[in-house]
Amino acid sequence: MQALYIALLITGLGAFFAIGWYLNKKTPLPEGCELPSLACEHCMSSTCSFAEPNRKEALLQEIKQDLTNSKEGEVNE
Amino acid sequence: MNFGQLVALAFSAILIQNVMLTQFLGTCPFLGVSKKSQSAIGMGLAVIFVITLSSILTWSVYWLVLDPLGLEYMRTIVFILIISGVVQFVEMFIKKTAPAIYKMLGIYLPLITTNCAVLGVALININKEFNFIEMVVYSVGISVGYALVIYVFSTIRERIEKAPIPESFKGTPIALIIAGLMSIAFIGFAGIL
Amino acid sequence: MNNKENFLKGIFSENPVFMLVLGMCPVLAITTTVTNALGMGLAFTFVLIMSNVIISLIRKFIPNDIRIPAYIVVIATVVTIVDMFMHAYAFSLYESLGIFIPLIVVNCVVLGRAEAFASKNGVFASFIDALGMGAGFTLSITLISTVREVLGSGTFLGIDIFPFDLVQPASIFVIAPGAFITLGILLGIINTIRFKRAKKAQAKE
Repeated sequence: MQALYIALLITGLGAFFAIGWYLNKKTPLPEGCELPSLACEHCMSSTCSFAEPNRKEALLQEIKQDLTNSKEGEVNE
Repeated sequence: MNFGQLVALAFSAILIQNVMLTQFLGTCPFLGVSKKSQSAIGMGLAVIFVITLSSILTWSVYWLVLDPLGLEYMRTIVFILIISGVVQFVEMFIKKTAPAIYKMLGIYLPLITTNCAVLGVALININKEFNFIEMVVYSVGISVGYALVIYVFSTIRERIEKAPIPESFKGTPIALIIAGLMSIAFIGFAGIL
Repeated sequence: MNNKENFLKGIFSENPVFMLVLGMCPVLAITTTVTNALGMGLAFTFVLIMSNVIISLIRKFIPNDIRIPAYIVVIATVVTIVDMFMHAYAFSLYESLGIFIPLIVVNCVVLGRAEAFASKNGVFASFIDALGMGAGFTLSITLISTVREVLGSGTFLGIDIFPFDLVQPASIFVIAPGAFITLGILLGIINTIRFKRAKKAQAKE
């Protein structure tokens, strides 16, 4: 009997989510909302679909850039 | 519960048992979204929306459906499904009725589904066996406390951008130390009640 | 990548606590004692392995659009099982971990590995990946909790290590601010080591 309740509950909630998701998909984005410019800086995960691509590469590039800059600074002085 | 006790509960939720600095719920957006105060305000407002709505819904479903049927152990699964659904509905609702608000906080809404604070508050409401009014006061208080702390934190972080911090401490490490100092400050509130 | 690389990346190059900085809520709250950290690490690794394996097994049957809620339901089921198991057989651990056991469901690491790895790779690779990530997580929080417990209450695994009151513990480490400050300083130290290594590698080129 409890198994039946659980199945009903999960199906009902799944339907609730599906309806919400479907309605959400149908409504278009309002004008002026360009999501790429709001790219997420949430965490350092290299696999997240929200993040800018090549985050790790960009960070390593930054480190290398700083190192070459500091080296040039030493040579000049 | 009389009015005085409700005020004390609200106070405790916002300041004393602050959701982020004392209970450690909702850390990921706190560290990740707080680099600019603009995005911090957006995140805070979105959190207030979602926590209040989902707390009311999860509390109702628990006491009206799960408890009479003896299915309390299903609450984690049921709550997280409700929260995902609520986020979808809130996003659609905001898209349709207030595009200006969507511009500010739209991107954070899907991120809030996996925010520890939302599920955490839903479970705390059940663990502490609040009645309806206490639950609403507590949830609103918690989310206002979260918005407050994330906004203050982001303003501090904005100023620190210009300070001479060692290279290896820039970003997350110094942010954590700032949060620690804020947490020490908030301990001072414990003596008020 | 081969299995050894797969496993080691969870501990070193993609360590969920120190490198990815994901799922920090339990890290800050649980690390007051080493016993708590070990228990949490164990529960976390178990949930990660089970959810990775199950999602990898059913990945071909889930339509792409609803994959996130489907993963969440799978993970929530595993977490409920772990929760009830701990409630029955490890009650003191269950009480000290409190609300953070159900919160493994929304831990970014678990959901992230499911989406990034288990949905695209075979069962054995997902298993190794989960094992590596779980091991990395457990080692990291054990390190943090060692620092906090030894400095904060003078004990290790509950055993007093400073007899005769030689050293007074600094109890700031076991309350809320200590978590933030310990983690911040440890992250800073690890970043220093990482940057030095990058410099060495750069100098060799």
